[in-house]
Amino acid sequence: MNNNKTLSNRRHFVDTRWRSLSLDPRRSIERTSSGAVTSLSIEGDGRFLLSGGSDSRIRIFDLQNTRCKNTLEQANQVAVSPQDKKLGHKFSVTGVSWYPHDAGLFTSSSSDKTVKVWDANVMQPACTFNLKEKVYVHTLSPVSSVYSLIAAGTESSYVRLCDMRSGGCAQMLSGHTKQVTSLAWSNQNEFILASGSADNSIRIWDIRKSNSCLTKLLPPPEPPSTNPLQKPVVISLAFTPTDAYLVSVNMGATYDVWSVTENNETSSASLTHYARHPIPDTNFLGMETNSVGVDVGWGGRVGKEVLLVPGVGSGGGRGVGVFEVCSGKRVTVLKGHFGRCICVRVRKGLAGEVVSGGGDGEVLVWTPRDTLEGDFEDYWSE
Amino acid sequence: MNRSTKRNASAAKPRTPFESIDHYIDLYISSLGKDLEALKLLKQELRKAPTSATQDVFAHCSQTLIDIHLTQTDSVSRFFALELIVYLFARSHVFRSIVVGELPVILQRTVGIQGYIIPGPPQYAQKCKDLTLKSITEWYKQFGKYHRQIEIARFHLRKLGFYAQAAAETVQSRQEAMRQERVKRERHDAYVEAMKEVEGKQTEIEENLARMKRLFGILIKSDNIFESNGVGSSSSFSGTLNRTATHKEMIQEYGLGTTSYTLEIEVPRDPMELADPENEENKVLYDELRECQRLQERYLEFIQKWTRVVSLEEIESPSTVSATLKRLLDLKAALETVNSKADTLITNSHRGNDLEDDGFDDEEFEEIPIPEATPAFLSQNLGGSSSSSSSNPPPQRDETSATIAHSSSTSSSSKAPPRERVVLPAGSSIQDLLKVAPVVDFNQDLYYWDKKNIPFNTTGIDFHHRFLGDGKGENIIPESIMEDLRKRTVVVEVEHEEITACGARMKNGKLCPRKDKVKCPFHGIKVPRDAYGDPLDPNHDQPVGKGKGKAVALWEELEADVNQAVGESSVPKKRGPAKTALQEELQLLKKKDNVRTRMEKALKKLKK
Repeated sequence: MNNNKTLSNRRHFVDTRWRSLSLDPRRSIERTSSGAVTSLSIEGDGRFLLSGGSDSRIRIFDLQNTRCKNTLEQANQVAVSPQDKKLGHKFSVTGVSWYPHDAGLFTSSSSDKTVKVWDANVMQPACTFNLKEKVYVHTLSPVSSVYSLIAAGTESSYVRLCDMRSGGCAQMLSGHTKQVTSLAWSNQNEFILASGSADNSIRIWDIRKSNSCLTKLLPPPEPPSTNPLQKPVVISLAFTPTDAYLVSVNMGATYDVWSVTENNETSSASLTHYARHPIPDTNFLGMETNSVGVDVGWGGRVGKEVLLVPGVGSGGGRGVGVFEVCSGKRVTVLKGHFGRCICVRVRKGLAGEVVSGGGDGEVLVWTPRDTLEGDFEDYWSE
Repeated sequence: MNRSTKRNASAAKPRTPFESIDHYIDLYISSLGKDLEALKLLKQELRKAPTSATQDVFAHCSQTLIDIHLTQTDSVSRFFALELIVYLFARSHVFRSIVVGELPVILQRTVGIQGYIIPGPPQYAQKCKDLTLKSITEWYKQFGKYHRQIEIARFHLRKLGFYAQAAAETVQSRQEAMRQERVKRERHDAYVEAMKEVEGKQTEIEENLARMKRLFGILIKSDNIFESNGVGSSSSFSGTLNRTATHKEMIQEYGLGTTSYTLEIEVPRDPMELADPENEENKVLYDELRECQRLQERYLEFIQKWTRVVSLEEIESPSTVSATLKRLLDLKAALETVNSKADTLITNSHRGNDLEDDGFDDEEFEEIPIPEATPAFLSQNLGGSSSSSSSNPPPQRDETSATIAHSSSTSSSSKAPPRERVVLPAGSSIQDLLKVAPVVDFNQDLYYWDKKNIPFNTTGIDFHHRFLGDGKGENIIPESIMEDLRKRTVVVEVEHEEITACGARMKNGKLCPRKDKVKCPFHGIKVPRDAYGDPLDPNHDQPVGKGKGKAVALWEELEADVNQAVGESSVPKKRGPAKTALQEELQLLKKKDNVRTRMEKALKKLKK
């Protein structure tokens, strides 16, 4: 009984922490990017932050070793990829990702049709996969132990799997009819991959099988839009930390929740559409090929996870929307970017910090307000 | 008063807090920030909200201000909405926490970032901008440690160059003020220097004036008469007026006022004409007079310069400046009067000499038929300075003069069209010259035609040149430049003859575009043609293109004639080398490749 009470207390605590997220006035991350920050990745220990920019460069920031500047603690840039076009990327970086088991390695994808594997210590590419198509998105499985595969979604309708060990493209998963716009590895099963496409379908793949497509999910049709440019596209995918739900964000400013039910006897899983929730005041028009880097934060209980969506808000998508995954309740909207918010990442922990990058070149750190001294004074004249 | 009653009436009916907030905001903004009562009520409304609803109330308030009033199409209401935002921002922490999240939107609508444009009126748009930039700076100082959004907004505004712009504007205005101050100081220096010069030169000028007056006294006998009439010689301004009076008296004295008899009498227009003409005896006096006049011209220049300097003076008290200015102008007027007198005297003396030398010159004066000597005529002839009788109404005179002026103007305008160069005999009169003179617009060149010594530096500061040093001396336009200024630019229009295209039809169906004057090398002599390239004249035989067959040689023509006469048929001309039998055979052997053969081939293939 007592145990139950502490559990509920803890849940409440987590909930309020998400609710009280606000821009940390004491902490900043050095402004080094001249262009937009298109993707972020935080290392497993939560120390190093990787950011890819539209200026084709990748930067690493040290979040723990900060320097005091004015009243701010500034996290400094510790490394940056070379500007040399032969070594680094030629065009905008579309995604960056730490290798889950080692902070000495990370991967990046770019509009220059390549996926690169980098040695973080010397900031030089160790291996380059030329996919001959613009790479929209790439991911690494967070729990992989057998393979070390990079899944990449490109302009073509194939999901490409690149093997970091051999340095070759291992597999092409065919099934989609249009470009692959979003990818997500399962957080529990290292062989399960979900992919979303511009053909408005989600496919679940088991990469061990030759006929690897397990199932094809079709989101329920959206009400016809008055805007002819607005096509039904799955622009982002994410598994919740326990793999209980799969979340897919649609271009029509809604998100679908798919519940995953595992059948232990046959060791197979089936997905059913659980709910569709709106993302209010939001417009994702023109974002189908720009990865909208959503992330899911742990909410203290299965079903209470929170979904963080960048680019939310009426005035040009400057905010990060925080929603409860299952209920669709808007927890809060984090407003602080000067331009459009493009990507968001949660730092590990119960209700840890959130880092977001935007079109203004800013990387902002959001922390729960209860740890901050606030501005609570009124100055009403009598 | 009316508004307050209305408000009381409207306050009587129940209203939700949100509605009343909107109402008070509306009142404040529509009164252009003058309705402090509404502001007070708004404050009350916001403060009386229960703690649980504070967030909602302030959120509603900020939303109304930002989404409704800051999106108006005039920047006046935007400005007062912004004023309200600044007012509430300084007071409520809840409002602050809401507004900092919307800073980019506010900046879009008040400063105009990210391609947004603030509507007019421009002065309010500027005020909006200034107020926003100022408030952001203040907010950063006061609340920057709590809200990082303010720092971010400030950083991006700085990056976009808004603060630099504001700073540059202040620097510019300061520099402008400094420049003004410097100019003022320099003008004052010039003024002080000029005043010193005035003190030094004034006695000299007055001496010169006195000397000239003395000379007049000696030269003009009658001058003494006028002065002895009790008019007073010291005031030279009223000289003309007094003279008129004496003329009138004189005319009356001599009995000219009556119309019972006519008397032709020549009254000199100026008493100066009464002076003695120049001769051996008074040559010394005249020389002295001329010398004095030359001096005076120099003094006039000085006075002109001083007047300019004094009129630009700003540091000295205005009364002193105006007094000085008056003194200078008086001096100038005195000098000018005396100068004109001297002019008359000198020219008169010269004419007197001329008359003595040449006798009466017929050509100088035209014979004018003498009309009846009516009082009107008399008055007209005597000019404005003398009128024969008081019965003569002035409007009539004006009319006559007006008609004269009119007739002269019409005659000059009627002369305008013919502009031919006429060689005139040497002794032609000015009227003849005027008749043939070209009529030109009054332009800069004519303006400068008889000008001399034009000052160009009107600032009142002595010109300073980096290499040539201070230009203390003459700041007048040099003669070489004056020469240029007197020149007139005449645009010579050359008539262009439009050369038409040849226009003959070419092989490709187009018309020949060659523009030759007389003859096209391909199509022969140019003739007028229609739109299809055919000559309009049907008799015109068209030369065949490239001139292949057209050139029938003369000998061939002759040969044809002879053959005809003899009765022999003419030998057909060989064209090109004849084909040999072998060649023809080869030609036949050659496989033809045309549609038919190709089809046959295809059929064969099919059969196989």
